[in-house]
Amino acid sequence: MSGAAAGAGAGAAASAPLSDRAQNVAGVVAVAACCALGALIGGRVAPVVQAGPSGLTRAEQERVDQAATSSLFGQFRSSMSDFLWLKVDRYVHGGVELRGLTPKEKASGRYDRVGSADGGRENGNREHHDETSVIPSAQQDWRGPLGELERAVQPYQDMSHHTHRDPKEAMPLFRLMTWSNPHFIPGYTVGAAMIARDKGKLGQAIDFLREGERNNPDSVEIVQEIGEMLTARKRDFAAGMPYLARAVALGKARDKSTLTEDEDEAFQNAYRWAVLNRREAGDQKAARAYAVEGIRLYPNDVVCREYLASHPRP
Amino acid sequence: MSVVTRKLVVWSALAWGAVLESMRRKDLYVALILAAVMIGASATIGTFGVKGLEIFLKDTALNVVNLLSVLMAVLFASRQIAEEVSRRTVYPLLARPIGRGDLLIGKFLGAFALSALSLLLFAAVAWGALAFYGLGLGFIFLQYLLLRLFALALICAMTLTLSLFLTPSATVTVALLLAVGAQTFGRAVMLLDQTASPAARLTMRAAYWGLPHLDLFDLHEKVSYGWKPIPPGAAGALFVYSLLYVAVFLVVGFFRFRRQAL
Repeated sequence: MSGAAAGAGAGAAASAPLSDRAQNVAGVVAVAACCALGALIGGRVAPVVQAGPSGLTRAEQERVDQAATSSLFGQFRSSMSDFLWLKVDRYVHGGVELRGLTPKEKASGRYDRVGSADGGRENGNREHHDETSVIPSAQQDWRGPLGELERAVQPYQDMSHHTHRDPKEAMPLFRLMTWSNPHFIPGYTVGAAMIARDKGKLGQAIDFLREGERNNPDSVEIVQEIGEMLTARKRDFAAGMPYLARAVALGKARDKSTLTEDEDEAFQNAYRWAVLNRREAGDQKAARAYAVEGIRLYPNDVVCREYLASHPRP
Repeated sequence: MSVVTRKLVVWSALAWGAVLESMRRKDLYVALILAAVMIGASATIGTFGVKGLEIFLKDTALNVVNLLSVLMAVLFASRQIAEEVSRRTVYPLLARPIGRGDLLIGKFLGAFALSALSLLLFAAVAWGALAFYGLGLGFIFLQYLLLRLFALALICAMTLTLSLFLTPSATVTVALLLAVGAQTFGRAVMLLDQTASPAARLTMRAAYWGLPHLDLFDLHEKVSYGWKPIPPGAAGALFVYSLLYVAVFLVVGFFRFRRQAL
């Protein structure tokens, strides 16, 4: 489009000082030609990567992008939610700070292991993959007395079989996190899982997720989490299935290689829970279809594999 | 009057002079208002009806106390000698029977007294704001204050000595970097240690052992998260650690100041 417009502009400049009307006509023709070309190409070439739409319309998003203040504020709210996220993590671990493993630590296997003694995601706790404590244990520490002093004055404990603090006190932080940044998806998914630890508050957890869905309608994680909660916790298979089906559809609409680790995990979970949901609802045909599709995308998935093994094709 | 008594009189007079001078400048009042505003602003979260933010409030309030007290200590200590020299008031001082070592120790004690006073005032503001919301801090809060006092002594000695080598603005910058960046530096060394070459590792470890670790004097996280008080042995070890660095810095400062042309 810009090339054609530039060409038209250059032509106009070279010939003579054209009237304003003539220049406008040339511009309109150039734009129309580009639109037609775009439509022709768009019809013949399938998109390789589709940008995930946000909660805003394109026009709204453009307005937001053009406003310097909102850009600055966006940075602030994003930093604020990240800061609060870290605070929550510190809170549930009693102030003990964790970090990801370095490649060297992963390769050598020499690091302080972090493991949960009170369950993982099913109990509203974050999974600990490839993590270690920031302050090392005496066995891994070269600092001698300085290391001992740090372990005495900073929050430190052996995290290999740690329990989590009751997240009740961290709940307002999730509320602040999602207020400050409504597009912070882990704030909704982990926050809801923590609310749902209290069985009597399952409805509140689902409402919190639905708020997240309104703000992030195309989030695989949030939609899958609603489906999972309705299926696994409420055992309302009819209500849960549309969410799981939508989570699968959202995942399929994306290029799998562009999914983040969390999105990919949610996509896989959507297949798993769709299989289990349909199995419990007695719709074995649909369960099998999800299992077959799930295995194709995640060949090592245990749930899909076991379903197919225990329910051979009739 | 014995030599020791005479020295004590001289040092306390110099320290008192430094305190009075700073009071006249009203630095402390400004910092106090700033602390009240910052802690008050964070505490207003409670008035919006968001309950259960106790840890967050404690953490924020004590972070403000830490930050402002370190800032005040650096500002107080960095100008003690530099201003005496620039205003030429150092000449009448040294014309009296006061040695350069006495002047250095007197100024250090003055800066430390001011820093301790500001810490206690900031801590009182934080304690008051938290008490307003019914939040207690427990016995470990006293240990927190004690360790902060040790840290401020170290910071004052370090900054005073740096001010004899560097310009005032450079002194403030370097001192703040060492005081505030201690933890970041320590964490970076811990991570880089795994991948560094033997020579680089040796250098980093030497720097780690040589530089003062002011993050060791910070109990604010344990206070915020409600941990038990630390063993007295650890507090004692930190007192010795602080005293050692104060002595080293003041001795280095004395040798520098003794040869310095005024």
